[in-house]
Amino acid sequence: MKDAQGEGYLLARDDLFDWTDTLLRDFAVQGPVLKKKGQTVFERIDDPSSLQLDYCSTMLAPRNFIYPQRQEFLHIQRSSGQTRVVTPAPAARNILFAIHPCDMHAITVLDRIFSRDSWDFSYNKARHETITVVLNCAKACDQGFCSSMGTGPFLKIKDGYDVEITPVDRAYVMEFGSRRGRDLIRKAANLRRITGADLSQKKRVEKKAEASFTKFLDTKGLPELLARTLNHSVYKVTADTRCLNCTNCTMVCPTCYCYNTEDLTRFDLKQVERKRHWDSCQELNFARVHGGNFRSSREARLRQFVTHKLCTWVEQYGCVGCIGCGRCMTWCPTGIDLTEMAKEIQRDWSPAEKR
Amino acid sequence: MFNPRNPRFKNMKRMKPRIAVFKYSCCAGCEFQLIFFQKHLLETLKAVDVVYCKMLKSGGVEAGPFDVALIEGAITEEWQASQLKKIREASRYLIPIGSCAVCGGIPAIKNSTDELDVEKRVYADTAFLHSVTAAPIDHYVKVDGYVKGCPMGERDLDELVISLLLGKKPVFLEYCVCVECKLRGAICVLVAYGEPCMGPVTNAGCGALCPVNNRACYSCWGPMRDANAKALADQFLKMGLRKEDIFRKFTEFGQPTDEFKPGALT
Amino acid sequence: MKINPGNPLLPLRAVVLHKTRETENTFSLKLSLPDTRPVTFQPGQFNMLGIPGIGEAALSFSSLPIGKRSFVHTIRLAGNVTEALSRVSKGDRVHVRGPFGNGWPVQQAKGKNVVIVAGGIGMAPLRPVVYYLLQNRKSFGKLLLLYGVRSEEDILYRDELEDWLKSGEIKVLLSMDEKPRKGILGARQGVVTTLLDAIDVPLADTVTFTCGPEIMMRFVARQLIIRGQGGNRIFVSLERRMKCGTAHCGHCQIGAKYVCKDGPVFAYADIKRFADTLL
Repeated sequence: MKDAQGEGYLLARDDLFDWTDTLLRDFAVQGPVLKKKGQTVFERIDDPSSLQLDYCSTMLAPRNFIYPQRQEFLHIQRSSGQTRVVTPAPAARNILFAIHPCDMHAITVLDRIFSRDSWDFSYNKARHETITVVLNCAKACDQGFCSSMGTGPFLKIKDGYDVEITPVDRAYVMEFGSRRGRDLIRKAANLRRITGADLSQKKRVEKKAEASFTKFLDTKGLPELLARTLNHSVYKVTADTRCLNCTNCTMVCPTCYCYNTEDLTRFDLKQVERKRHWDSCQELNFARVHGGNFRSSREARLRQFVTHKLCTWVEQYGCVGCIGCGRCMTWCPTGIDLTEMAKEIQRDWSPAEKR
Repeated sequence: MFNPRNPRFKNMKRMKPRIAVFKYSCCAGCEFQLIFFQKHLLETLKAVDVVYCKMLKSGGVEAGPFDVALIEGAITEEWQASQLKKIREASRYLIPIGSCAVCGGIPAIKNSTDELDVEKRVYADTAFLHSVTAAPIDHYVKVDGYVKGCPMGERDLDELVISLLLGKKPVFLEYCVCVECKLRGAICVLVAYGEPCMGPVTNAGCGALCPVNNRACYSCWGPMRDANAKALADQFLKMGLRKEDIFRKFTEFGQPTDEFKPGALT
Repeated sequence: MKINPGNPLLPLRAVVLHKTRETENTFSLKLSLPDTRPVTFQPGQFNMLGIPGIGEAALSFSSLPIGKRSFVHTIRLAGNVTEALSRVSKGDRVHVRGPFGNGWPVQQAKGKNVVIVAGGIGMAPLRPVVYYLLQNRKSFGKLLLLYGVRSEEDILYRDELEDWLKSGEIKVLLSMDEKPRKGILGARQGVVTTLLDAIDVPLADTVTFTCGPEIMMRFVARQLIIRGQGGNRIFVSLERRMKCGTAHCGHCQIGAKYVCKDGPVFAYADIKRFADTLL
């Protein structure tokens, strides 16, 4: 839909804020906002001027607006066992505004997990009610390598999103991936249809953005390689000397989906809230069963993270679990770098294979 | 928690759980926290029978038997250790509450100094003193779980009381502060602001109180199981902290623990 | 009985029809769903049984569907949920979600000999397989059941084992860690792998189903492979931490496999290639 010429629109730079203002009247707009010491976070805005559109990457990906950190999903009467599904708060008026293409891509990865084989009620409800507005990146983030993973710097997917915005010279190219997105764009004043010239300008911005990357990962043959090198020393060395088990990598990863459930009984002992919260494979008890722990070593847990993202995910979901946003390495207190670990394994193995 | 098939306390099955609270070397803050269990004090007192708790009432049955003995404070004198062993004998479940009892806590800071020096610094006449190296409760007796915190945390305390009432084994948190910190969406102060945060090696339960307020965690909950203290200490060195400061960070709470030793020795 | 396809996390309430004590630390619950839809599941599949306020645990079926709405779970005391389940009595209700996972590939075994190797509580998920094989006796070749237990007190389904032994339809062999008293199902002392010598059928034409401690399955599978069986004809049933049963919570992953969705039954060769198992 987005490629059909004349189907997109052009909006002057200054008019974007008016458009956002219009959206604020009907929607809860969750956008990037600048915080202390240059940190950007996604939160609800009530003034378009608080938007920080020129942001690098937030700590938490905006996945928490669709798949919240903590969530009650079932309410149980303890004596009778009667249950009531707790419906997530209506997200119908939620707009994820100006999320980067990598994060949009991550949401479509989560879609596969939560709706392909079996249906997650809470996730899908929030997902279908949330409008996504993607802002293409004019330059690479410091730690980003999305161009290597095929998830950026411009949107690479054809559906699953609503609006795609590209900053061009003194204007924005506004395209849409859904009818809902088209209606949203049409709320803007002073729109004009895009021309071939606009699209070639968009292409130029994309080329320039792609040229600005400094971090790369060669994914060719990587899943197969990682499957063969499960006992590579890089896991043990990194786990022993640097990994803290702090779970930051998995908590900030936009495609991590694991959760844990717990029953919270109220003090009257009559009501039980069955809740879930994000869990992490880096946590000691993640794979513990009665009488044993299948990943009791830090090495095993680190290997699980690396091989799941870059290797076994492909067999499970037909795509790589890493979208190249660079968050896991940015927010690792000791700076453990997923791409460096992969590259170390590639360095050790590739020459031998050539021989 | 109250397994009806446990033959040892069969006749106590239908009775309210008998709770005892003992205090050793500490500030008594945990006992206070227990009594100040604001939201649920009334329900709790209705459901349990507090048979020994100096702060709550005078007298009490010191000899037991108890269903649950809650122990606060570190062991720093010989008589405490022998009493503790008797309490263990008399209790079905014995649970240390608060950092001093769980991992040595503040009293264990003295362990880094010579015992005689410590005594002399505090007391003019040390003849009557029989102090020993401060040690957590599990150094002397077997324990059935830990309610961590300084003072003990509300989440684990709630879990303990609810488990008592439901008859299940309490599930205490065993992950680090970072988990709670990220679940609350707080910006990592260690990475973003370069604060020497102890969150990655510290047991959760506080709800990441300090990091959420842009302050470095100082490990008052004590070490997380399997913490990689050495790696964090190395990172602190890289960030420019002095060795003495790193030593203090890893001995302020949890001096006697194996988890924090590699960090303190960096 | 596919429960609530729109929300697989929503449990149904099943009534406890019967509770049997099996051994010192195991018991069986016969449950019935007060639902008009007939209950269907395969041997080897599992349910999430739950007690409100305590949580849920993954438990394999220990029977074939009984009538339209009933089934049995044999449960060993392990944690909070199984403890709580041991305290329910007839007429009580428990939460049920399921069935989840795949079953034992009994269709693949048609026309072949079947060796069943069980260890301890591992007999529970294999009992419905024996039921199925005996019900469809003509479709299979020779049947062998090798069962290893720690002591006499740990033998599950003793009456049934004796019946099977007497029927002559299936060869039943028992091993015991302790020295067995005489006359207990002809038990011999040792671990279950010592019984593998008694396999008197050509392994090339045999399918093996095994369930027990993971380390036991490791030795069983490796010895069978040495004796000439293909790794893709040996099926193991694995246990992992499970919270959802729907391949969402991530806990039960072994490499690219979800034990709850792709398992709990795996071909040995297919699961052995991943890390973090004892196989």
